[in-house]
Amino acid sequence: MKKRPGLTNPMKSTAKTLLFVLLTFPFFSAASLMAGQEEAPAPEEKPSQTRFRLGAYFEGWTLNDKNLTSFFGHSQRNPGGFEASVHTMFNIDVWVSYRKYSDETKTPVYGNTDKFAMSGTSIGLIYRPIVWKILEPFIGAGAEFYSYQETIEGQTQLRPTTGNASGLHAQAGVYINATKFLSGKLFVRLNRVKEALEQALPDGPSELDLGGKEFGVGLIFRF
Amino acid sequence: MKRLIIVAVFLGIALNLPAQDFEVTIRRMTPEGLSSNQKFPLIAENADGEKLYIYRGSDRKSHYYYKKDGDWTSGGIIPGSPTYDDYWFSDIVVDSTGAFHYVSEDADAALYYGYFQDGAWAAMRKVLIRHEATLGLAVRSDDTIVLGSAFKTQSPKGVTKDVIIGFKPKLAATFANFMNITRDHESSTMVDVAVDSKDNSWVVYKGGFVQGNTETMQAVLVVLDKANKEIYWKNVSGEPYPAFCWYPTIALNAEGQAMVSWMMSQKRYYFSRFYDPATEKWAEVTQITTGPLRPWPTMYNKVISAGSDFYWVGVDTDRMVMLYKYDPEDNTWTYLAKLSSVAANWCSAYVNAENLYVSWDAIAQPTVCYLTTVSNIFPPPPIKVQSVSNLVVERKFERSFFSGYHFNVLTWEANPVNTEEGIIISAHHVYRRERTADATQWTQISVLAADVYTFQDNNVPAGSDYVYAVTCVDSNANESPIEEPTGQASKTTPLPRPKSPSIPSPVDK
Repeated sequence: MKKRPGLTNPMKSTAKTLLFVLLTFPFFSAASLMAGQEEAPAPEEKPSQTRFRLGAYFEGWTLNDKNLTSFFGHSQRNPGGFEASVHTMFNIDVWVSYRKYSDETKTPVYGNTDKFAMSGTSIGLIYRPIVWKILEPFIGAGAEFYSYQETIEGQTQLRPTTGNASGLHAQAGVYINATKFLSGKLFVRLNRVKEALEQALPDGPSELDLGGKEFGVGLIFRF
Repeated sequence: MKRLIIVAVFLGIALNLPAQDFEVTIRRMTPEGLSSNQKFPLIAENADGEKLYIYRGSDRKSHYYYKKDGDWTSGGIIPGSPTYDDYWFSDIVVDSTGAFHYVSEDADAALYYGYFQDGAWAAMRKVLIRHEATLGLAVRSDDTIVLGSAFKTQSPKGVTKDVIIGFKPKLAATFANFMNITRDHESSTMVDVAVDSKDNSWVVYKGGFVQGNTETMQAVLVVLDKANKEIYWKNVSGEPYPAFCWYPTIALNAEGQAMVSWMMSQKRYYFSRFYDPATEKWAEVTQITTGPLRPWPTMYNKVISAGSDFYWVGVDTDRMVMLYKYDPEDNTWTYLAKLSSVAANWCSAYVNAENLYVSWDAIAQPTVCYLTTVSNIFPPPPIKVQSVSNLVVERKFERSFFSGYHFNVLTWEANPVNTEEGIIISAHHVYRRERTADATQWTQISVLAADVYTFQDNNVPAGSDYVYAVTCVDSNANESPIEEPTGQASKTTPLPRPKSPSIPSPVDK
């Protein structure tokens, strides 16, 4: 029995990647900190509280809409993304992020390439209740702004579709500080984004559920 | 001796009349030398070539001969046949299943109905009306048998004779739903019936018309629609010749045009009148036979149609059965042939695609019955262009995630009949209708070149369920008939998911 490509491999590769990062990042972090301690021991040194963080991440992104995921044939995509945050007060950061979900398939009769792309912009607040020297767990919440489009390549009667959707997110994770300027990041984000459609989908529903789950690992520069 | 007579009868008497393009064969059907008359024969043939010949035997019962393969065989007395006191008129028709329907009369008494199929009779039964005289049968497209008859009724004026029609639905055992269609209620009898392509019933009868103290008999035409509502009425014979008209008969040709014939007693000739429903115009009354005045009576005649042509068979001035053909160009009749070898009394006719059959009885008593077959008389029907073969409709749904459209792909093949007959196709016409719509509600949606054998209908709203027909148009602009679709699949469900593309390149432009 053949496995359907795209349904299990992305999850497996993402899980492997995350596992690798989880296993190796503390090692590099501890090594780096130990090196720092040898150079400048400071037993009462407070964790640094930098103002800005810029980072990139790699994630697994699943959407709730079963019609969409089954049409394009993938239950999960693995895009990269960018994020930035600025510390305000009381360990609260204003945080923004951008990433792009994309998938494609062939139309059932004529086999035209059908591409779906969705840009996701997030803005929210992150609260780091405990700031340890190495670990900074966080929780956060905010808004999601999506812009999606479907295009069909080649000669066809099918017309492209574009749309926007917005919603909310909640997230949690941890910064793992490797150096004064470099951190790793693990996160899980839950999105709730629904879009009422003017015209029902061929499958029947007239609502698009673009919410879902994101989980990933990132590299953050602090300054 | 008896065996010798039977052999002689079944060998028949063949008489070929030369100098004609067609061939006339006369066969004696009933035995000679009986002490009583054998009379009033009828002939009919079904599509399988089975022939049925019925006559009133010398024992005053209905007898029959049957021919399926080989020679005629005598079936003897029809089961359930009454012993007629006064057998006169009868008629026979064949329905679409090849079954024969026979109605006979005991004049001034009763009608009897018999049914014959696959070589066997259902016993004749009495039709529950008080019959008077003459009758006619016709078959509708649903195999309902239409009976035209006349019956006596008591009115303030005394005993009158009215014309009625009755119906025998396909599976019914006998006729019912009789209705009086007579307007004048004065001595109306002698009925004949034809049915057109719309299942309208065309009924002609001898109707009485009274002016002052004078009564004349005219050939009256009444047309009833399928719901048996009168949609047309006409005194056909009365306009130029107010006279006594007897034994009107009617036939409808392939174009739906009508021909009514009758015998006029004063003139002692047969007359006819042609009617074209397309123009709603009647031709002038025209005389069929032109011989000298002949002794009264015989009035038996029958107008028949073959394709677009009308023929007339009747007992003419010298008591011979004669055959005429109508010329619509100048509204005249042309004599074709003599169909009897001896003086005749009664005649009736039946037409199939190739032959004309005329059943008749000799006038010399004790009478015997004959069958005349006229072969090769009808011009071969023009080869008509046929619709395409193997029309296949594939119902497809192309979609993206957000949108999609239904379309139907039609493919077909050239009809081999057109190919074999050398018919040049100039175009294909594509028709469409909703599956549940009336079969006449076709809409032409495309005209395609003759070498195109596929069509894609992109205008297919969701939820629609179309069926299709593709006709051929020949080089003379004749279009094949629209054939009712069979086997075209229903809706496309469920919606397809993307898979490997079934058609590699887009067709839509």
